[in-house]
Amino acid sequence: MASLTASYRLAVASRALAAILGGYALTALAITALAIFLPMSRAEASLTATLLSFLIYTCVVIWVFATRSATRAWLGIIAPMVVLGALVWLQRLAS
Amino acid sequence: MSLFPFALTYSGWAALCFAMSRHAREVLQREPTPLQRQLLRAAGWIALTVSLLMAAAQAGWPIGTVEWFGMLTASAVSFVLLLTYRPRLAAGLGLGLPACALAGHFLVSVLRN
Amino acid sequence: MKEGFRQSMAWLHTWSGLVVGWILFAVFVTGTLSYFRPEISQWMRPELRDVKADANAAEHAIATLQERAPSSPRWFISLPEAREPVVRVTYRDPNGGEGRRGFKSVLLDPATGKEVTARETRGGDFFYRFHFELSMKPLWGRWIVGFCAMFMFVAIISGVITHKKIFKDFFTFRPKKGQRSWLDAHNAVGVLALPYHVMITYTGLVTLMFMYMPWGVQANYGDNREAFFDEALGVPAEVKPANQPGTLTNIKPLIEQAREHWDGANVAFITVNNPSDANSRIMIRRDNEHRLSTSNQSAEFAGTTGELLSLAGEPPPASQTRAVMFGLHMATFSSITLRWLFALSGLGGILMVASGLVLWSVKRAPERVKLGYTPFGHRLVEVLNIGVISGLPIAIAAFFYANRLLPVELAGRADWEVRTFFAAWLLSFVIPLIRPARADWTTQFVAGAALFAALPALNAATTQTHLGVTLAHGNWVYAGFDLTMLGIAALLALTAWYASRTPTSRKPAKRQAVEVSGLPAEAERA
Repeated sequence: MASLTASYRLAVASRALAAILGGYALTALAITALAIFLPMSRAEASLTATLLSFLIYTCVVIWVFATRSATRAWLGIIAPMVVLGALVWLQRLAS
Repeated sequence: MSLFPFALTYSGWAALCFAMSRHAREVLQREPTPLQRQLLRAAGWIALTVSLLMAAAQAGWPIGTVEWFGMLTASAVSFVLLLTYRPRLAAGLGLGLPACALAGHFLVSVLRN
Repeated sequence: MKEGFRQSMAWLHTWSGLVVGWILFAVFVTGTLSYFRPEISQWMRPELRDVKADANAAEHAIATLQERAPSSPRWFISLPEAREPVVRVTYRDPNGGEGRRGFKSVLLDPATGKEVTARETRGGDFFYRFHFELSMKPLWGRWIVGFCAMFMFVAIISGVITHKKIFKDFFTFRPKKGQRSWLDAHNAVGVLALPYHVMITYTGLVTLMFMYMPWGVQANYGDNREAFFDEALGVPAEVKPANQPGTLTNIKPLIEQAREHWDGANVAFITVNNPSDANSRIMIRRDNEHRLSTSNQSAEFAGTTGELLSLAGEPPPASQTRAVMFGLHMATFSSITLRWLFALSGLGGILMVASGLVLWSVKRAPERVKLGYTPFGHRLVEVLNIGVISGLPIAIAAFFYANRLLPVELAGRADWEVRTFFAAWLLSFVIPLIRPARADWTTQFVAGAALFAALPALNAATTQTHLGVTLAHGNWVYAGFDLTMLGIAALLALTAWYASRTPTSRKPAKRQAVEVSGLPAEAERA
């Protein structure tokens, strides 16, 4: 392991937070959108979205730790959340 | 679940293993020719495929597939352990196991009739 | 983490694995035991030795319930099967039972319908619940296990990415080479049983997914979760009683009729709603033997006339996927051979987690040599490793010992068995804590092996379900348990022997350090 400087520790903590909490929030929004927009009966759409959720979560976590910097990791969490949130919000307005 | 598909998965692993020159050198004491390696590799994949077909034919596709994965793990573990501690036996069983399973089947069907 | 993709995955694999490794180890061990939940429950109730399944079990159970609890709003009858040939009925006790909402569970003899009394124990259910609740408050335990399972899944995927020579090294195990061997062993059990590890972790998360990830349901149903379960999983709506007395028709023809629809599959479970009312309903549910999916296949009959009201067919794709994942996790479909293959893969999982934990310590031996002392973190990991890995078998053995040794009439007996389990486990942490000597691995594995080896003897001394009787009568549930205990003892003895010979378990020898530093680069990183 490289020398454990304070900034290194901070970056790791930041990524862990992004992966665990940010990842969960992104997953929650993603499956909300999937459950709404998948072209199936609403029960099947909810089930499909929920079944996929852990796969989505895993991909997000891996991406967070693979990307170049902690800042990029956070950006990568927040940007899709904004898009998904807007989609869900627009659909709610429309219905 | 019968013994023959299991034996086939074992032979399949053995063939795939000895298609790699490193393992072949260790156990068989000689370098396999490229043709031999290709034949071994083909035989390995065929054995694994046939064992899947047999497991599916016996138990149906859903449960047969699950059984096949179980057999793959069990035979791979036994093969790797034997290869480590009894390498010659590991190689011999690649042919011996299916033969024993076939003989067993034959014996059972003869005794039944 | 500034390095490449593979390095950051190696980092993620190491640390996500370490953080949850101890809990995962316990979950894997108790989960693997849960494949044999009925057998364990049976063995822990030696009084049930001569109980046998019976073709008229359902009729007898209903007769008993009509006598005991005619006013109960619902009866649940779980029918005998080969692995646990006893009837379990649950009903609301007119005298107020101790269970949830006054419901009470009783074991019946399938042949007579009479209650059978057995010692109070949680049996195999203890391990089953522990493997997803850790004996905590259910909500806490389930979240912690879910969190660890999620880490596990990430660790598996990142492990596969890290291990770049996954196919080249497929058949490779190099023993007696210190760290190299630990890494080989960890890779081998991980890769050879990889389909199982991926399957068991993901399906485990799926079994509790509506708790972990309620958002997909929330999106379409808001807080009306009942509506979702009704639509998606076919949970039938409740029937209001007519408040007029009615008599149940004979159950036997109904069972026959239902079995015809299922190509002769057996019936596992019967629910009777409003049993003494004119508006009664009988729900007959098939068992999942030879069937991967656990989707709810049931037939509903009008209780008084016996008219078939509905027959649940195969559900739509997503629902079926979930039901198959459930089935794969619980292995209810499986034959005895396949169950053992599952258990073997479970053992692979146990070894993978254990070797991963040990590897963390072994890999840092050169660091300890360089420092000249053992840092607190290393010592902590070591004590936890010894306590969890070598202590859990001791605790499990202690649980079985308590079952045979505690007086049958002891109040709260089932709880005392559980307390014994935890007391024994706690003790296995204390010894490595106060004794710095590294021989603890060996000592505790030897203790575990001795305890398991002596279990059949203790069984013979305290019950009439020992090998002498059970082997002679071909009672394979009891005999199989005792023989398996001997098998576990042998495995633990082998591990103890191995631990006693491994130089790293005594002291981080100089030779070891040299060997480690001479390793190729990919071994350093994994």
